[in-house]
Amino acid sequence: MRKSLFFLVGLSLLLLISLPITTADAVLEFTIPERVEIALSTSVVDLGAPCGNRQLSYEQINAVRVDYRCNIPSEWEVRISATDFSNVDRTIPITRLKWRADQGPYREMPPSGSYAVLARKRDYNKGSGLKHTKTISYRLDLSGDERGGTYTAPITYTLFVP
Amino acid sequence: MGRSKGLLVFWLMLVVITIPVQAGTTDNYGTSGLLIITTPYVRMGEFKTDPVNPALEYFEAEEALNFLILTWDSKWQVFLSGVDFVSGVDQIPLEQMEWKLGGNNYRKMPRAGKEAIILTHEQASGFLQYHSLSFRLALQGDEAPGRYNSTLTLTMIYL
Repeated sequence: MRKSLFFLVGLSLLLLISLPITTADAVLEFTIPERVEIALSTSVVDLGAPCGNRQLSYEQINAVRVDYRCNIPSEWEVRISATDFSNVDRTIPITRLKWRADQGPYREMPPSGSYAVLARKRDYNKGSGLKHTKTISYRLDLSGDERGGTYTAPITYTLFVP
Repeated sequence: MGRSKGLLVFWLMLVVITIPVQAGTTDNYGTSGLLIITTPYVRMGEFKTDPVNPALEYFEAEEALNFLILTWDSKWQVFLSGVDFVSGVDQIPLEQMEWKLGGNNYRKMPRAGKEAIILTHEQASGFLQYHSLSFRLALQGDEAPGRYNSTLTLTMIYL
């Protein structure tokens, strides 16, 4: 019995040690978290002093930088929305405000309660999950019959992920 | 007696086939050795951000994969290969990862299915050796979220 045991152990060891190639496997694992980020370079934009003679205009070039990132593979979009300018009980429709992204053309702000799309996933063929930036400029043309005062309007940037 | 012998053979064979070593089918020179990965499951941990370049995000696992070489053959090489990282339908190419042995510099992983020589008898000698592999995977930033994994294979060939 003991002889057989030694024989079998010896045979097994011989099998093991006579391999010209040995391989061993390992598993590597990591987790990439979801990244849904949006940030503004400033929370307050002062449109500054008016310019123009007949029509009062305000313009603030590169007023705010919007950084956004979404690595979720869905049709995400960055939306811009705002409410009317107000000064106590007086208002100026927000549609008078125009905005543009980078060097694009000025567009009217959507009316209060609506939104415009600043960027969306399909704008980026490759690298849609990377951080992207757009610089927003504002322009406000007044009709001239507005009453004096300091007007404010909240403008909201939303990274919408369906 | 016959039954216990059969049982013994069965157990011995079981031991042989469950040791993480597979046999090649060619070139039996009567060489000998063992290659054993002592850390067969490697977690790359949390991703890190480069302090100099915050846009660079990466995973790094230092001295994460440890392996033991037991050889009394004079000429041998150890190869590293693997498959792409997969998470569902999403993939990250293996060549995006880098490896280093011990305190050496990082080197690019080969493409999935290709091999890189990571160690030879000229670099290390001795009957019993213990080595550590570190890995670093720089992200491009647009990788889909999820849990990714890949299988790496260490192959020891006797020359």
